[in-house]
Amino acid sequence: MDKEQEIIKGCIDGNRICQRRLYDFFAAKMLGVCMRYAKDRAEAEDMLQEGFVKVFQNIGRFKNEGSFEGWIRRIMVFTAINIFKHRIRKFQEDFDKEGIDGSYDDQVIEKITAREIVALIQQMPDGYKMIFNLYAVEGYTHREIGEMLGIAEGTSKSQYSRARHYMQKVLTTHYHILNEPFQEPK
Amino acid sequence: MNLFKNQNKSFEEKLSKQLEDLEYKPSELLWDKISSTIPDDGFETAISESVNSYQPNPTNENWNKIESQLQQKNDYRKFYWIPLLFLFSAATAYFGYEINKKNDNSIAVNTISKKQLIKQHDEINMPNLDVEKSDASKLKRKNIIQNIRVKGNTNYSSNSTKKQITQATRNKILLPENSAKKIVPFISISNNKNNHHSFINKKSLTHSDTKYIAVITPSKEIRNSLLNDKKPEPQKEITQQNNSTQIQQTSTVIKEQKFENKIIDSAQNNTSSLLALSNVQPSYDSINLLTQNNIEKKKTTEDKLTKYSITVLTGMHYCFNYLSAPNNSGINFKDNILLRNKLETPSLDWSGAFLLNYSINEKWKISSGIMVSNFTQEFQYAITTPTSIHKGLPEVGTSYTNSNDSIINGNSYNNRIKYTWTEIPLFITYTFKQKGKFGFDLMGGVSYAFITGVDAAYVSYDNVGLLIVKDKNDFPGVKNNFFVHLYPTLTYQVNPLVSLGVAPTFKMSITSITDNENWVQQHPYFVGLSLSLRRKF
Repeated sequence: MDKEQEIIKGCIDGNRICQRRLYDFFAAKMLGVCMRYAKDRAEAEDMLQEGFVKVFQNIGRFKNEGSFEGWIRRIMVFTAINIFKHRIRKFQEDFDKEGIDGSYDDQVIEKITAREIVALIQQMPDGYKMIFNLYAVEGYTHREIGEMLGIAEGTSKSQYSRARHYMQKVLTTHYHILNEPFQEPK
Repeated sequence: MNLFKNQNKSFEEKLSKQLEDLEYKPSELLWDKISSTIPDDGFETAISESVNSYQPNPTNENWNKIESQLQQKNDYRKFYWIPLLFLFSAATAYFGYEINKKNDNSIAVNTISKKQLIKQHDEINMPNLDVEKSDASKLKRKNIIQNIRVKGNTNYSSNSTKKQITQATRNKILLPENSAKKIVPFISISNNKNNHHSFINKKSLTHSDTKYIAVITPSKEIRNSLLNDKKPEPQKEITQQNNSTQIQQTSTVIKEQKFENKIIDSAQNNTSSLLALSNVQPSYDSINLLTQNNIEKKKTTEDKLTKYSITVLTGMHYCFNYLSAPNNSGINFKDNILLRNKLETPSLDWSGAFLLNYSINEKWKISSGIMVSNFTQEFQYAITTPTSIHKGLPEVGTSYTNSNDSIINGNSYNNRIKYTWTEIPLFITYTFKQKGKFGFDLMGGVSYAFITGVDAAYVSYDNVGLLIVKDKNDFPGVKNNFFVHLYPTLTYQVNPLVSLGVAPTFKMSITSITDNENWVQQHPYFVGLSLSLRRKF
């Protein structure tokens, strides 16, 4: 039995030491996931806490199909979705009116740090942020996103299209003002 | 009942409600147009790679919060079992108390110490009682350690006094508290029916007139030693003063021996020989007189049980739901039922009952009482864009979610269907012949179930949207129903009074719980295992 399986078994038995070890191993990685869905760090930590409680309560259901990290990650994402559902029901519709700057340069993203990108994602409107994360970062299809969020597949597509342009615009803007002091993620 | 209730709202109100969630499905061309604006330029990959490398460390407080939350959840789970534990503990304590009480009733195995005897005599208003230790040395018996002589007073010969003492003795003398089982008194009783005005007179003091109501037979060794030894003279000291009786009693007590207790009837047994054998002095005091009721009670413990008994029943079961289409509805529910059968899966839950049983005869019993049953099913589903035309909400004001999505098979969402009933059952039990301590009972019957808790979600009739039902009055409504029960029970008799049972359980609602004739009819049923504890009186 490898180490991961040993920890999982301990968690199933309710062993607090194993639970702590599991938490220590995945907490940072999962907080990174939560940060992308939350509006600030405090909300991300709440999300992480709720997610880990679910992990420990449902760890017996993990069937060893796929990676364990992926399973935890999915729980974190679903936790974020639940919070999102409670907070907002409508998706952004007014972004088109602002117009989209089409001059996005592929090099921009390479010159901005991960922390800066997460901070920019946090500043996105909730609807965009959710669909952008699910599609661009987590890799879910629009059909799956539709099922998860309780919206039509087409709604997911159109929302993502807007969110993508929005993100490209803020990245470009941020790239141009890199020399200005950057506001760290809260 | 009309499917579309509350149709008397104003036109504007209804139109507004209908249009509130209206969403047109755009053509596929529009989606293609949107997709074409998303070039495959590696933007997503770059973003994903970049942000996935961001791994901030959470604060230390975070783990403490998780830990405390986990502890709380565990506590809740503990609380869930507390009512059951309490029920079992209470039942066990009650039965234990009853069993002990019953054992204490047996005079053949209980001891009345000299000290207690004095005390008890005092309690039953027998003034001037004089308890003396007889000359035990005369007997010279190794195993006979104590004789107790009790002198009654001279003023308790009336019937009323006798009655009073009888009652008091039954309650107090023969049921001494904390009595040890090492010292056992022999007790005999006068059978002189003519002597109503005095407990004992001289004439009654013959062996032929004396009934043994309890005989303690010593072990073989003791018996032999008794037979070989010279029989001591019976100790009789009887005086009569002022038309009343003075009573002497001699009780022989045998200590720290294994005794075989027997209850015999004097009419059927030769008491003289027994008397001689065991070298027991007949006792004629009031205490002995009064023991007759208890002795008879002991003698016929099983015969004298009442026809009543109580049963505590508890068990776990899997919960199923048989769905059927309504008879007279214009709606085709076939697809809806097929889908619900896929999405709603049985879960484990519990039930418990407290029953009062009445034995009609040796074979048949009838029972009733109160019962609590729980029903839980997992409800997992996924959603997609409507695959059929949404036919509209069944009722204005109904709680509805995903009203514009088709509900499909999947596990994207987890929900739960939960019902709780309080039932008044009426069961009949047939008892098959027992083999040793094991037996077999077949219990069955019906119960009327009051719905006391509802927390459910149903796929709407057109498989678009979910109905949320949090109360029995929420559409389509949940009503009280009748259950039919069957418990083939394997029983084990712990003692003549208490028996345990284990029974596979089958229980089904014979009436639909859906309070709407135009909606899918639901008949919950359960398959599980129950444990029972029965106590006779």
